[in-house]
Amino acid sequence: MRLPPAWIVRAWRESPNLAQLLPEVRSIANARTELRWISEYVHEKLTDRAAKGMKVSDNDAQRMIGRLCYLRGQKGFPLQYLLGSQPFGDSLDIQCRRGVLIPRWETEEWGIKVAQGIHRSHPFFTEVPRDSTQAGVDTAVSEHEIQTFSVLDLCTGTGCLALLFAEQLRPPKAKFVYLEGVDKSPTAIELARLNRGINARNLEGYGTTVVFTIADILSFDIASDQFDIIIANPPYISEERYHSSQHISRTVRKFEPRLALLGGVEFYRRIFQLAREGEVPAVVCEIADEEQLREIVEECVDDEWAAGGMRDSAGVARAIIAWRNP
Amino acid sequence: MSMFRAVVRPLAPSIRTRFLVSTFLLSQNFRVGLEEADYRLHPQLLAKAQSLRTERDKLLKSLTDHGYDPAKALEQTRLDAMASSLARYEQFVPTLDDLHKLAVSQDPESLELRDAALEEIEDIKQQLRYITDKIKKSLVPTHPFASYPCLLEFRPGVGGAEAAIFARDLMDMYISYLTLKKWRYSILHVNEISGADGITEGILSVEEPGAYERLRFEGGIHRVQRVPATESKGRVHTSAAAVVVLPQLDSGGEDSTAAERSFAPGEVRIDIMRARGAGGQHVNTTESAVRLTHIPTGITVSMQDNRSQHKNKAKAFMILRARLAEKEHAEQVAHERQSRSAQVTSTDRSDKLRTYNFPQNRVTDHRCGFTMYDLNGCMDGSSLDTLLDSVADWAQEEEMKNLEITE
Repeated sequence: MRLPPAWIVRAWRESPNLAQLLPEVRSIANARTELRWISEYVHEKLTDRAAKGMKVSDNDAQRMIGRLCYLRGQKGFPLQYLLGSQPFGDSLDIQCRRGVLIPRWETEEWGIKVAQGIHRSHPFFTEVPRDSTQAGVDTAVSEHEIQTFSVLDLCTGTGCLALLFAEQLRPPKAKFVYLEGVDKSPTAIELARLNRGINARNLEGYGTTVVFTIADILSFDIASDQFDIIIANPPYISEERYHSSQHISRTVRKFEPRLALLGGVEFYRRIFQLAREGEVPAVVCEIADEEQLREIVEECVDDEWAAGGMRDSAGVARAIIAWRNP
Repeated sequence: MSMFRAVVRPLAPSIRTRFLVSTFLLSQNFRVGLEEADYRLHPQLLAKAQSLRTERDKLLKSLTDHGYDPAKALEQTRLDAMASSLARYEQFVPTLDDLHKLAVSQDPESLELRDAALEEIEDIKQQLRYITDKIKKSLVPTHPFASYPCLLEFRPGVGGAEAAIFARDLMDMYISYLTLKKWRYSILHVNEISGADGITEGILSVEEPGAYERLRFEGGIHRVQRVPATESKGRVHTSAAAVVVLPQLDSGGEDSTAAERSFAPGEVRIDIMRARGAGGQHVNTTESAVRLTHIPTGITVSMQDNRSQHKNKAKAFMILRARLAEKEHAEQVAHERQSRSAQVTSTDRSDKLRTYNFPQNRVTDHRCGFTMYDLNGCMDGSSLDTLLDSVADWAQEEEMKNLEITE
């Protein structure tokens, strides 16, 4: 849809930068908000530079803001690539780079719901460790058994889901949480490790370990009983939708990696196969829509499993939650 | 300059007189009562004070048993002061009774002690008067949210762009005050108007426990009289901005969705302002605005400051909870007041509570009649405490009047 020229004129009168943003951002109100974020970012950056003793002038700020608005509005760069990061969860700041999928609000939303649900109701987090003075065979066993809750995050990308779960699942006293993020792309794993360094530096002290590994989901196996849950945001856009501008936005196709977008039921089949082989009791994956949910349930969920869907705030079926029947 | 002088002269004395008269009246009101009541506690009040002391002992025990809790510790120090006054009261009252006996006794042996006893009685009465006053003050029921952190909301009232600028000035005033006090705060939300230095809405979160108690009387209409930056002919305008003070029930940081979970499903409608579409990996939207509608009351909260939709939602829920708690409390207070006698002065925030007069360098609080000729000190937060103190004193006296009426 073409922008009404009156909008551009109105925006221009308020600020030329606002008019620059319009072609990509599509509304004056949103452009105003983005311009504020861009200005805040630039000022923060320049304050940092000044603190390091570098010369900064007012002109620099205006030039940087102008350039970012041009790249954002005229060239269609994703805002996260320009500002370098996307806030995620309660306190994470996920670095974003070309070649790795930018974290979406939908992923954040279901991730928090699932992680908090586990933290509130899973016996691992709610049960107080048994008093070791209590007599009985149980004590002998539990003393030798290391109490660890393990999460496997497939197609981890920036590592946002693994780090989100690390943030939300604080282990109780004398227990541990282990998270492993796996991705096929070395660029993604490098970025995920950077994100771990920025966001999870203090986690070790609380008994949380986050590990990122390069591996192709189709070609590795997991030992049985190793993980308590598999979470994943696999590529789920079909070939047909990938090429239809009705379904996929231009910037996503232009800037974000095909590898993280183009896929379908074959990924879910593999995820459920891994869960079956590794005797993982629960699987939660992001999905495209209700149609895909039905397809996955039909293809991957057998009698041993129960499954349900979860909608996001926009009302779209966004995640499949499956668990092994007890 | 000469133009101003003409205005200032007749006004300033009249305000000073008004201030003197009103404080005089207040102190008179307060002193009214039987002489006895001045240095003796009403039995009901005494019983209440004693029960509060037992409560303090319990609190002290729980603090040592269950570890430190800032809200409880604050409550305990408050009760501590009361308990020590009460101990002194209980020590003095029997002495006074004995002295009375001595003073009225006709025993010739004690006759020479009478004068000394009478002197002593006066002395003790003096001290008791002071102690009784202190105990009564601490018996004023504490506000249920007194120990909570708070939210401050700023909105322009009548006066167009100038009101929006004043709303921003007020927000800056409290920010400087908080900085001086070294209280942690964060700006939750600012909605700036384009072209001028004003705001249409601003929300501050003050994270200090007990901030609500200190700032709760700041809620209301603040009036400003000055030559606005937008005025070309140098005329003094009167405009206003509203401040709303809300108790902050959720810490906001630790558990992001605690506030959300405190609502029944379906009680709050969450609107995400975003075009419909496939979502997920298909698009990369930066629009993160969230609007909440509390269906039973119709209260709405919009939030779009942060790039994270999750954080906007958590903040919006926090503000919604605070607004509902305040509303509920206000309704409860109104209900209690109705059942009380009609002579209780209203302490609510119906009218403008303060005037900031720039040409006269003056701040006047209309509730306690306090005037301060240090506008700059007030606006930069450094002498705001003086103002807050006199408002707090006024509020306490009002509450004590209620206490005596309900006795």
